[in-house]
Amino acid sequence: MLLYIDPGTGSMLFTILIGVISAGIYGIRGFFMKLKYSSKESVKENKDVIPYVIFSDSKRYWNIFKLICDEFEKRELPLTYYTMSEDDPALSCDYKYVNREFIGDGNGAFARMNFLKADVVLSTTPGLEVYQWKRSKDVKCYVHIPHSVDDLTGYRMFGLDYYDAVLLSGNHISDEIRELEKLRNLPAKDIQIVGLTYFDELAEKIRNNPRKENDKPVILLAPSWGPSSILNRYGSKAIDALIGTGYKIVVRPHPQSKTSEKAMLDSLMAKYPDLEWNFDNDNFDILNRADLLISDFSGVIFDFALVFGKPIIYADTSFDKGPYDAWWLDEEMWKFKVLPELGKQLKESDLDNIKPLLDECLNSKSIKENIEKVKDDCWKCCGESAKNIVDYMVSKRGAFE
Amino acid sequence: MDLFDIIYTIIIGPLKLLFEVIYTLAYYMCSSPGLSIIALSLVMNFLVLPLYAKADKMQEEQNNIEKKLKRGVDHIKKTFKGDERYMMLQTYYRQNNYKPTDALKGSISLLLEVPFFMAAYAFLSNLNVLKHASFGPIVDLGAPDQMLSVFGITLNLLPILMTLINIISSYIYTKGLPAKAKVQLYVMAGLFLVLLYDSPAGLVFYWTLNNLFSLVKNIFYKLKNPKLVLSILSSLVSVIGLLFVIVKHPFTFNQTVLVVAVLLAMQLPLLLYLFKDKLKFKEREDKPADSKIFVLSTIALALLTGLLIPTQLINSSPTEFMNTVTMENPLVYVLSAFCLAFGTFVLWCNVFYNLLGGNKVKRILNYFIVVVLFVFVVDYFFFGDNAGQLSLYLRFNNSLYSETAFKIKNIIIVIFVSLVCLVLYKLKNKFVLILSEVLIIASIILSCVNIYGIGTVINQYKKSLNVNNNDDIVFNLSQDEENVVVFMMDRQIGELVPYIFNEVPGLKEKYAGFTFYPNTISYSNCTKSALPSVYGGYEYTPKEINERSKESLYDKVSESYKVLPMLFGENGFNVTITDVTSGIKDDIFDNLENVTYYNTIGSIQYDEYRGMYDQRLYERLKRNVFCYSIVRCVPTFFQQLFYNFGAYNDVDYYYELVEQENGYSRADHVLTSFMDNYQVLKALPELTNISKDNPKSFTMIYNLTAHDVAILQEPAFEPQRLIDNTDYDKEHEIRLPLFGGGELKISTREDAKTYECNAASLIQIGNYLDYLREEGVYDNTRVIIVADHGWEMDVSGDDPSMMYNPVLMVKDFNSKDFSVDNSFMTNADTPYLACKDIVNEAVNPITGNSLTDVNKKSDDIQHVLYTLEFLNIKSNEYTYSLENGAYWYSFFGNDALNQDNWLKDIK
Repeated sequence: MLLYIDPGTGSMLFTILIGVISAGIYGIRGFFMKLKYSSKESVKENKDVIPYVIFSDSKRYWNIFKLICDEFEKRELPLTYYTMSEDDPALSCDYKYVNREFIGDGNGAFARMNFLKADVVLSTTPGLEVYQWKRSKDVKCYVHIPHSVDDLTGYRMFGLDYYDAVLLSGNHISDEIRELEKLRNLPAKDIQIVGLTYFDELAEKIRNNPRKENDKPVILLAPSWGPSSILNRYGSKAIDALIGTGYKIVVRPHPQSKTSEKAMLDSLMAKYPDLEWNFDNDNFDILNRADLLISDFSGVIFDFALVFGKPIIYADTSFDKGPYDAWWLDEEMWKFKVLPELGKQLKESDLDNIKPLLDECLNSKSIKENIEKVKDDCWKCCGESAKNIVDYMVSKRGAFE
Repeated sequence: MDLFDIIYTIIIGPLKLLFEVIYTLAYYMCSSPGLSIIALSLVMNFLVLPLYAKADKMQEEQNNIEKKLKRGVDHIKKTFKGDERYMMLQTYYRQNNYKPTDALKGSISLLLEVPFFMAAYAFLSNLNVLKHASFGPIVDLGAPDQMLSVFGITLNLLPILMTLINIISSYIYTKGLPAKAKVQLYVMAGLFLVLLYDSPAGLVFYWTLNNLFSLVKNIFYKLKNPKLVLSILSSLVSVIGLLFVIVKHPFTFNQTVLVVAVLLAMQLPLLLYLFKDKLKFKEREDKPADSKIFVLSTIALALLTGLLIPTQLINSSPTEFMNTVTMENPLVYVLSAFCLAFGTFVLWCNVFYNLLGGNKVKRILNYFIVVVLFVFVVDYFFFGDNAGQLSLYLRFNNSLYSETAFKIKNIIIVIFVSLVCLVLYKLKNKFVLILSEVLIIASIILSCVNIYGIGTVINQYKKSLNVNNNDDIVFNLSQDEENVVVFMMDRQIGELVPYIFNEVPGLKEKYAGFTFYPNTISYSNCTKSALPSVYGGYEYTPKEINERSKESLYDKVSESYKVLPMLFGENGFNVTITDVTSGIKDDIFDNLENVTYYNTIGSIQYDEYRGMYDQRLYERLKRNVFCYSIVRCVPTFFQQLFYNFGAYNDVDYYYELVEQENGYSRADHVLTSFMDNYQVLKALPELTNISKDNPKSFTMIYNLTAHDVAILQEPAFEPQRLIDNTDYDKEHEIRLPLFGGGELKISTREDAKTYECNAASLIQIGNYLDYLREEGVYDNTRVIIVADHGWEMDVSGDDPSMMYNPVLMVKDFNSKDFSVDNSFMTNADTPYLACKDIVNEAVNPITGNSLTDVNKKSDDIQHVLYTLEFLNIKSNEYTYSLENGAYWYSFFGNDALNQDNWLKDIK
């Protein structure tokens, strides 16, 4: 009876004990996480501070970084490009001033990044300081460059929070960034409008590949995959409806469908052997050729509408905000607000008679005007993005000296 | 002390000590164990209240932030899986400055409550005063109450009452909480009922009070304006109390003053509440208080009271503080004192400092602790102990500072020091810091020196013990040839012999053949200066020794010790010597012809009494060394508060002391050092070897049976575990001597001890005489019983004569009858008496002077030294000091017991 105490204290102790236990479990979990994501290789410390670093976690972002590397090369400014893809096209490019290096694809790469010594680091990878990639105390400035005009609140939670600066293509999403900063009590990020290298690159490609006029409109059906995608929901009914219009129909299934929904895809392909099934690695040619894009809701519709300047038909817009930063904000995401400006929505009832809908999109003057308006708003500095970005990085570094 | 002991002493020890002080003070005020429990419960609960409030506040904050984060946390937990979920949570927590480990922070202050409960429990559950004490309807606080009787079944009412209060309290506390919390508390209440049902009523009463307090606390926490309600209640209680005091006059004057003061103070909260707007003080700029000075001061206090003073105390006589059972180094007392001091000042003072501390409070506490530190230092170093000697129980043999003038002087100095501190603290904060640091360093250095000293002495002592225990002590006597046995009985008083012979049946018969010399004086009042002349004769009286002022005292005294061993040894006697004293080393007998030396004291094993006594002393010293430091440091007008007649607020001991002080007939232990000596006398027959083959012998036994005195069981005058002489003492209130002429009325405990141990010594030597008779060597053995000095008993009042009246009894060869010789003698006659007629030339073998020279006795004046210097001889001493209250007596004429013959020399 050494520990006899009064009931209030006893109960409080009990509650606290539970708290202490859960805190203990949390602490132990943290310890194991540290172990799990620690690199077995020792991190080689580079003695010198690198002035400019680009970090790319995947080769697919080369379309973001290519123009920037070219600009550094042109200005004869030394740049270091770290990639986590062994077959990143950057590695095979011929640069004199851009030092490229594959830094591994696992924890070792992040360990290396976490102890980096650099002035300005540019990256399009979200989740800095949230996942394995932590801010290095020896990096003066982390700059984020988006890989789409899309909302950045579409990143998984806290994706942008620990960057110092964001380089946007337009003003359309700066409010939501500020809103999150306020909500989370974070220091305001430096937001600059610089354009979008990826669009610049695409636009350049379009200029270099003038398209031939189609004899009849080419309708591209490029669905997404999964249970709510067009092919799964409407299947042959949608294809039949499209064939019924008499237009040229091209179906480009999502690459994932080939593995995940092979049976469904195979049966459709067997049923419509005469249809054009497109499986090109690069979607540029087919996008360039098509007059109208029918898609579920995916990033490619912005490329099609804003860069190619052609209308779209979008199907399902159901979107689970749960894992994304958008969940924390009440306001609707920008991309949902602008969708009706870029084309029309496909409803099930339209499938009985789809031609008027397609014709309206193909011929509507107002859709064309609206696309231009949206483009003006969200994509500024066309063709100048690489120059602006490098200017920004140089001035940023200059400010540290 | 193992590690657990150390941690326990640091954390729980100071609290237990605090509760003991509170309880003892309450007990001292009201003499009721039950009321004292109420006082203890109140103080304890008020002490832990800030801890509780802090924990409550922290938990509320914790709950609020958890509530705020709940939506996000739930969403993250629902949306993400595995590692990503953890990473998201971590980021979310970080952005909201929340750490799940914060739960620990709230629990620390709550966990701090636990030691308080533990300390109060540890204290109450071992409290003897509760046994057989009644309180109101409770018959015995030390047993289950058994107050309820239903259909012939006896039930304990208090545990049921406690549980009821517990349930009500839980009901109020859990209002608005989920059902799980409610059930949890009710189950706990039920559990405690089962567990505590058979506990002693005192403990259950205490727990019931705690629960009542908790109930009141819970009600207040639910109130809208608890401060106002509390103020009004306090005011009401105060008014009712005052009315009660005025109408009923229940207290003594002193108590009334105190009670009225407390009751009036209880009006303050309401007054402050009503006038708080007008009382608004100018808010000073709230700069943070300097907690460094507080921490440093508490460290300095801990070092002063836990290290420096204890080491100084132990170093004054390290062997005396050694536990003779476990042989544990007395530094264990320093360790426990340091743990207590560290816990009190460094741990708990800082805990409350940080818990209570707003900056304003902290600044006041800073000043307060600095004042305490410097008052302590000044008191310890400049108001040294003038309360006389300390007993092993750390009781002063004089009462503590009774002089009013001294107290007033102390008060003035304390006030002066406080003011100086205030000025220094205000003006030169840094200076105070430096002073504390200097104090810390000085304490450590001085303590190290002390510890080194203690260690050296203890090691030497242990070595000597080891040598000792290996020896088999044998006193060889010759069956046919001459034997001389001298008992040097330290402090045995001649004047008591006739009373003891009259009182103990058959004792006189044992001493047949002895001549008793009542008219004997010694040349000093303590062994260090009195013994040399017993061993070496008139050449070694203090006066003579001081005249050879160029030789070291050590050499002169050890020379005196060697006189008889050398003389007898050179004359073909087999010489046996025991127990040198006064710091003389036994190697002085090395290489002497025919001489064997033994340490006998403490060499005889006995188990009956020793363990019990030493364990009690051990526990008490572990607690009281720190208390002693506090007593030595606090201003004199507070000393009695902490010292209370040597009980140091140990209420059981206080109770026991009161009982003992009021009488001299009862005791529950026997002094170890008495036993160490008494057992030697008792074992003498077994230690003696009588043989025809043995040559003639000279044996000199030094013994302290009459010196390290204790209460003994009468009429046998034997040690016993529990002693009760009440009836016997009543019958023997007035003692008469054998030969008439005077009476002895013992009325103090010290006198009773002295008398009883003198008797025990004579009885045991008498038994040895019987043994010699049985062995047929009585006639060829000369026995001398002598003491180095007498002792001042309370019965003798101002008469110094008993102090200088050593026992002297001589039985010569073939002597048959007991006789009394009133010739004037001194104990310096011993060498002459021992060697008379049996050595060729009775001369001091070292100086060549005759031992038979008795002319000095008939000198008109004997110079007798009075001194308080009884400690061991130091290497730098040359003469007996006449400083520190020492002086000479001039003894005229030849009647030792006539106090008119004693004249104090005034320089």
